Amino acid sequence: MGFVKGGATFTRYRIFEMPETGLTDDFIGGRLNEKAFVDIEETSEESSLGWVRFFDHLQADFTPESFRFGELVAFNLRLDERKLSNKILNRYMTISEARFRAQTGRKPNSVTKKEMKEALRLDLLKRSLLDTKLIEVVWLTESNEVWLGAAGEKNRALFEEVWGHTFGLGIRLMVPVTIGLEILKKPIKERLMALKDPTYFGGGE
Amino acid sequence: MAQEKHVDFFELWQEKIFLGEEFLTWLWLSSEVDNKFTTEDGTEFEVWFENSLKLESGQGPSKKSVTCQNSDKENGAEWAEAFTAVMRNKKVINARLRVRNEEREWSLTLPSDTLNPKSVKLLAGADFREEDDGQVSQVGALLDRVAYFVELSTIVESLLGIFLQLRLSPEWQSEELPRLKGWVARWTRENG
Repeated sequence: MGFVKGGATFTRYRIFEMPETGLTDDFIGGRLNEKAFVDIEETSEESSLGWVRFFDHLQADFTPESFRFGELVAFNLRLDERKLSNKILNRYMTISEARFRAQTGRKPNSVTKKEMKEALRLDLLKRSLLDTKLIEVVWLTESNEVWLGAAGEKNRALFEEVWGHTFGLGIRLMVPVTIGLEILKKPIKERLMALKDPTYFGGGE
Repeated sequence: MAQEKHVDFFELWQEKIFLGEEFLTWLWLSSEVDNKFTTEDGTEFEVWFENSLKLESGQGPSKKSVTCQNSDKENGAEWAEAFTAVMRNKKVINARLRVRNEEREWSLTLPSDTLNPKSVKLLAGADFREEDDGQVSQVGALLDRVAYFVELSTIVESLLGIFLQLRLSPEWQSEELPRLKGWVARWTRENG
C-alpha cells in the first residue's frame, strides 16, 4: 500500500534549506547510512528507529542505486518496537517475589524489588516479539518537496525528528495557508496574511 | 546553508485553519452547482463529491460535528443532512471526492486541516512504463504513480488557488458568497 501499489496517503513537506554541497549522492547516502536502522532482534532493546531501503526494508545500507530513482530519492522509515504491558510484568513480578520469599524466608526490600523488576523487564522484553512499522518517504528533488507516506500527528512527529537528525534540512508541513502563500501573487498574498475572520455559508436569502 | 526567514508556522497554521474548511465547503457547494472548474491558464477539471462528508462547527468543548452520507440520491434529496448542517454554519472538514482532468481520474479523501490526500486511487488514465519483457517494474511503478500524485496535488493547489483568488477579492462578499448562500437556502427550502 502506498506510493508503489494500493491506495496512497501522503503528507507533503516543503524543504526550505539545501546543503551547500547540493543534493549529492555522497550527502544523501552518507546521512542515511549514519542514521540507518539498527536491528534489535537479538537484544532486549524496546525500540529502534532508522532508515531502510525503499524496496527492501531488511537492508539498511545505502548506495546511490538503492535510493536514487530518476528525479526521486526514496527510502523507508522503519520502527521496530517491543511492547510489554504492566499487567504481564506485574504477573511475573508476583511469581518472582514468591520465589524470593520461598528461598530466603523474607520479603524483598524496595531496592531488591526494583532490581528484580528491571531484570524481569529485560528478560521479558527479549522474549517478546517485535512489531515493525514502515513509512515510505519520497523526496522530490526538483520541486524541493518530501512526501511522507502516512498521515497523522504521531507519524509526522516521528518523521520530522528523524529527518532533522539525519539531514539537518528545514522542512515545513504544506497546509492551505502555506500553499496559498506559495501560489498567490504579492498583493493577494498580503490580503491572505491579513485575513482573520472566517466566513459562513448558512443563513442566505 | 541558505535559510528562509523564519515564520512561526504553527501559529500561522492555527490562525488560518478555517481556510481549508472554507475551501472544502466552497468546493462542495460549487461542484453541486457546476462541477467544472477552469484555472487562469484554461486548464479544466471536474470535481464531484462521493458518499461521505464530515462537517463541523465551533471549537474546543463547543465543537459539534456531523457525518453525512449521500444516501438519498435517487429521491433527489442527496446531501439533505449536509445542506442543513451548512445552513447551521457547519463547514466541511473531511470529504471523499473525485477529480478528473482530460487524461486521468482520481478518488481521494481530503482533510481540511492539511489538504494532504488520503487513500488516493487512480481510477482511469494511469499508464505504467513497461520493461522489455512487458512487465511493469517496481521502479517504473514508483516513478509513474508519484508523477500522477504530483499531477493530482497540482490540481488540488489550482482549485485552492481559484478559491483563494475569490475569497480574497471584493467579489467574495458581493457576489460569490451571496450566490452560494442563496443556493443553499433555496435548496433547503425546496427539499427540506
